[in-house]
Amino acid sequence: MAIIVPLAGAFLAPLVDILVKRTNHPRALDYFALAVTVGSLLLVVNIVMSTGGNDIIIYRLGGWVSPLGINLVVDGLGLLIGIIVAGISTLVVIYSIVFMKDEGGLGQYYTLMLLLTAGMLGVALTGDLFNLYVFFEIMSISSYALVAFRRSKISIEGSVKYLIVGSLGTTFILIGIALLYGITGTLNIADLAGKMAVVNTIPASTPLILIIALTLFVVGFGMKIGMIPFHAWLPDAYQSAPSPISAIMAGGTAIVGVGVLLRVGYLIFGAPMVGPLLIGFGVVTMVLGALMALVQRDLKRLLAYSGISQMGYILFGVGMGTALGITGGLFHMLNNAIYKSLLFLAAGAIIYRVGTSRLDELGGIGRKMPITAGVFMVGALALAGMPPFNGFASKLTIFLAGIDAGYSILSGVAAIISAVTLTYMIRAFIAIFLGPTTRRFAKVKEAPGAMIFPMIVLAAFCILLGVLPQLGFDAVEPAQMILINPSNYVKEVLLGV
Amino acid sequence: MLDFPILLISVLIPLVLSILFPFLGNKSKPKRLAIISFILLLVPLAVITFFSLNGMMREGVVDPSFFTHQFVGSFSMLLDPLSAPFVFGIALVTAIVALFSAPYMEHRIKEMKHEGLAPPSIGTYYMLYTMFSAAMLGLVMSTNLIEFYIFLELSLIPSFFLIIWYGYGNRTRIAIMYLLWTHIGGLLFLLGILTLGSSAGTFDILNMQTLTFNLGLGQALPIVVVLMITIGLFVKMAVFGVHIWLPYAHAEAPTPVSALLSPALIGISGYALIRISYTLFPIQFQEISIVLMGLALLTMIYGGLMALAQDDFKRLLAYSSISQMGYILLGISTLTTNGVTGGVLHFTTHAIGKSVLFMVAGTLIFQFRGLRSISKMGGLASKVPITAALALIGFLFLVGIPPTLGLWSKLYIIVGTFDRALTMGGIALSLISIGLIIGASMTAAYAFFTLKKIFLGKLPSGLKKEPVRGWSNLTVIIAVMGISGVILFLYPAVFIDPLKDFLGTTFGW
Repeated sequence: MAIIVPLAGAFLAPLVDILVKRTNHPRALDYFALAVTVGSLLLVVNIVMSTGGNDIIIYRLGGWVSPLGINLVVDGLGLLIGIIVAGISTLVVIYSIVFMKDEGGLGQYYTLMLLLTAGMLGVALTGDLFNLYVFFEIMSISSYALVAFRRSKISIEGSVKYLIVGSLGTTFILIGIALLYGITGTLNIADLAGKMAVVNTIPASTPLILIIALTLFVVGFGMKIGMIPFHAWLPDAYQSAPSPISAIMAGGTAIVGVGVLLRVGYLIFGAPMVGPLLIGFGVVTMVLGALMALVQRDLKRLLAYSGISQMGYILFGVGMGTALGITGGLFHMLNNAIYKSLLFLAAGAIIYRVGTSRLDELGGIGRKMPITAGVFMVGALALAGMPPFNGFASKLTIFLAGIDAGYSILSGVAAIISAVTLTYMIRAFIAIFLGPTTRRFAKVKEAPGAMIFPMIVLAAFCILLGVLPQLGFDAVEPAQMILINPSNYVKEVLLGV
Repeated sequence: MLDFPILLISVLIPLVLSILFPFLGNKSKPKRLAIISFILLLVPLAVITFFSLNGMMREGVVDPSFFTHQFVGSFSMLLDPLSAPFVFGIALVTAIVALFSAPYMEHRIKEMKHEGLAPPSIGTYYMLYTMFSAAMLGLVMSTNLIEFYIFLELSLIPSFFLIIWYGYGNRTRIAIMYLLWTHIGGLLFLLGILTLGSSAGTFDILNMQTLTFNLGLGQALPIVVVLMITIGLFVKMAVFGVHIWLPYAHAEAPTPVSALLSPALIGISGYALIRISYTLFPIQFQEISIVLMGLALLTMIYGGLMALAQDDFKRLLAYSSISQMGYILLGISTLTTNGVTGGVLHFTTHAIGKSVLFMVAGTLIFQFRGLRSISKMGGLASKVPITAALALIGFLFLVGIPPTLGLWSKLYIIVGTFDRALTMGGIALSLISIGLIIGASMTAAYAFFTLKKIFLGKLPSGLKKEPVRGWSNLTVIIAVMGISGVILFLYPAVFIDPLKDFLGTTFGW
């Protein structure tokens, strides 16, 4: 259901657009999109409430028995991602009401946005690899189009870069799926996991073809989430996309990418194979992303690179494969979605009011936009892992897990990188909000309420999860259980009715 | 163990309620904000004074834990003879400086607006100020390493904003420098405690008697961990070698903030050295303590020499803080009852004395329109006799002359140092004596030379104008601070006796 609503909404959106134009109710489309996202958010929340997050629910499409038919599987990991995605989509739609007010082609905009949401939810909740691929393509294609939405030269360039790398990535994934199918003859994730578990019990005999498949998956998803060295498209795309889209990509699609990587990696291939790979890529991504962020001159590019760097933390955390590491990584994933979309929305507010996101042009607008400055600060400190914000709790868990799992030196590197993170975020904050107000910005006003509201909600979550980290640990626990102990998942899907 | 988390609440009241200040800021008068902030900070002060006087502090006042987690352990608040002098010093200084802030910051904000800047309102100032103060109190009463780190960072963020928004000179660069140095120090500390905690399975320091923390660490690791923790704390404490950020930050912060930063915040590292580094790693800390003594003497002498060379009054005070940190470190690294008692007590001495001096500096800046350069001062005693007397009292604290608490703390440090030095053989003994004599005379030298240069002699022609009036109530505030230090001189046993008992029973000295 949760997927159907936005999907249907997406197809209805053009119709509504036509109706709106006929009947002259210019805001109806906004409210329609809002209703759809709120609806899917409520549905996901409802599932969480009814299952407590621990149970696994299976919908068998067409009533086929498990390994044969396509099924949707609602489990801890899927729900975690689903709730992030649905929540952020809702907030972004609220934000878009004002932000996109003056743009043409809103019918297309909301259609694509809802498609994107549907795709993300579908990826999160599917139990079938090919189905996953289809939803992943829905998600990707709508995001390509959204990046290019402004149709300016720079956004088309960004979109094309994204398109090339992204479709290469999905192709890799498709080949990976094909290889797996070739070996095992099934596409059901649970079935695959069960069969692979048998293969993996014989040590040192991992078939070459599996390694190739794994590499294809890691590279394919790595391209989508901006893992270094496959990140080149990401800053361009994030910079040129409209800010709400950057927010939904940073807080939604990137998270979905990580989630799928984890699902495929841990469920099918198992932690011992995937873990070291993720740690290696994770640390490189973390370090280089932060160093690149340090030299950026544009706020959105800076945020894009810092997003890459945070992705590294997540991969490092989950790559350890210990309960604590996975908890830390998933918690950081949740937190990252919150503060990164917050920061992109704040960047959008600045662009909306000031018209630029270049750090050397901005300055002294803190007095003019105090709320934006405040929430930006919350996001920046959360990103840098300062208490009492949420980033602290999850980073701390990751460091601790790293030391626990015997990666003390890498934990040290991660800690140093968090100091670097603090440096560039503070630098950006100072460049944007402090200093004398130039005449150019003398008339800048605070962002309108519909844009402020989502930011305040996100900032409140930053503080809430920072002050009461237990909430966050509880939220990611079901997901962590799935990754630690996939056999339960396999059993439930294949046999449990 | 208390049934009711009164210590936590006394910290949380100012910490949480401070968020309301910006909403009061634009409408209320600074004076009213100052009184609110004072009352908020009076809560912890009253609680602590109560526990210190009724003797409950002797056995240690412990809150029920307010947060428990399977990896992290439990968070609580603790007031015992070791933390009491620190908590008391911080609570006293923060409460009184809150009152001093109002006129000073009102003036400072006006001055900045005059320069064409737009600093946030005084309400924001009081929010940050009160948060900063409460975070320091929480820091000293922490019973868990992670809790300690959280409060460490919580104290860092507001102080960073206080400097970047209201500071002098090149405030942006200095604030970033301050933030990065101390944050990196904090991270080093964090990595140390994480290594420690992950092998021990808990981060609690409260029941350290029963915990054998360093068991799981093997042969080589304990010394690495203790070095990480200690060096991390040294950055915060501005010990020689990692002190570079301090003179900038403390000299260019707005003066009331300097009065908090300089004596209160950096000295807390001394507490952490004894509570964390020594308690958890007695053997390893004993091994490096000789090096620490040398470092302490070096810090003392270096700070003194640099202070002598300064022309800017606030910078001079900043360097003098470095030299006083040398004393505290010296007392602690002796690892004798007397030395540690002296070191701990010297925190309170220094907190009172240095905040008096910073407030004097602030008063001079205000009264003589931004005057900070000592070479342009002279003969001010004839113009501002009360301020001059207060400055004298402030320096008496630092030099350790009665009737100030400084006498006792310095006495104990020196006795403790010789207790230790006598066990180390002739060469060490003579080196330490020489170092101590040079260090102590440096303190006396910069104290009295500065007094002479500022307040005695001929009045320079530039200062013939009458000083700005209307600040007489400030001298009352400063005097209250000085007097409380004098009272402590008369009744030092409140802190000294329990502390000596505590050290005796806990460490078996």
